[in-house]
Amino acid sequence: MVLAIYNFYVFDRRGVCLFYQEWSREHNPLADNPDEDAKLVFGLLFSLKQLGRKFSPGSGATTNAGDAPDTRGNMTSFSTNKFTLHQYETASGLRFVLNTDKCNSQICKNIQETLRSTYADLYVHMVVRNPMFTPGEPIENPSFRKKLDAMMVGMAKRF
Amino acid sequence: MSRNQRLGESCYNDLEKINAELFTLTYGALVAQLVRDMEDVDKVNAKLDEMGHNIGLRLIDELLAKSGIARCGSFRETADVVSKVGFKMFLNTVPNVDNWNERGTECTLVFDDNPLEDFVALPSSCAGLKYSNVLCGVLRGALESVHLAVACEIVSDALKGDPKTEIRMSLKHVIEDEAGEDYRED
Repeated sequence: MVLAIYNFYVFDRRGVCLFYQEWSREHNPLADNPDEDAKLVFGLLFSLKQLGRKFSPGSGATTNAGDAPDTRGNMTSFSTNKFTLHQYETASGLRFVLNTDKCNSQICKNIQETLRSTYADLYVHMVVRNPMFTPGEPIENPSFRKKLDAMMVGMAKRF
Repeated sequence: MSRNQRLGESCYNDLEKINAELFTLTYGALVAQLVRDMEDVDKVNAKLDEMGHNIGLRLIDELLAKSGIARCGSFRETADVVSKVGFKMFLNTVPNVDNWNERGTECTLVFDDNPLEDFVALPSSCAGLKYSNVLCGVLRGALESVHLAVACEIVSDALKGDPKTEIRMSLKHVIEDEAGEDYRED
């Protein structure tokens, strides 16, 4: 069986879409406005995190002056009847987002691991270390796209 | 050995290395060129800080990805990671974290060994130069990326006759999550 992968976004902490890749997207009402599409996705994830922080059990108040913002609002995936959205968020605020066919929790776990590896192996090596990359600007390195494509397609075939 | 110490060691072992002398001399050549170009040591200090800031914004992702550290619970923990993992990974030196204020928001990094300053003697015309100021910028940039706004300053400098180089690091505030301007309501 092959897992269907739909599309992939990288956002920085301010919500700038650094990268977008699409494999299959049958229905896209915002096809002619990709900026708006990316903003919708980031806006949703941002709000979900705020909501998660408010709703999660335990006190949200940070007691010491140096306490980092808490991570209780962090979300790794959600599903609708039709698809699952996976998110890997780094401590530096980057978000790696992948939409796939609806999948079970074991597959979700595997996909988290793949997204972590897109950060640690691809992003760090091909974007951070690239002297031509300006933080906050879209990623234009063609080999990043190529490697990412190979990684995601390879992953989809394993399921 | 503490957990962060072990983590720092293992991250350091996994990284590709370059010759330390080449690195030290390259940095020296850079500072010397800046001094020649800008002529004013205050401007050089500011430039080094700015360059460090840009480096820090990038280094943080390398550190997070290689070490697998998710998030620190307090500024004390952050300072421990900075010294034992960050400085170990990138400069193979581990400054002591000392001199905490009561609230746990200010501390001093004390360098027994600062690889940037090997072979350096400051001429009298550069008395005001903060030779290692790039480190302050790196700390500021890297910590800003993980939601901590800090101020850093070299408070004692081995190049100017002090026993050790020391950087005072103080937490100004924790940066809240915020979306960019594109997301503001019109």
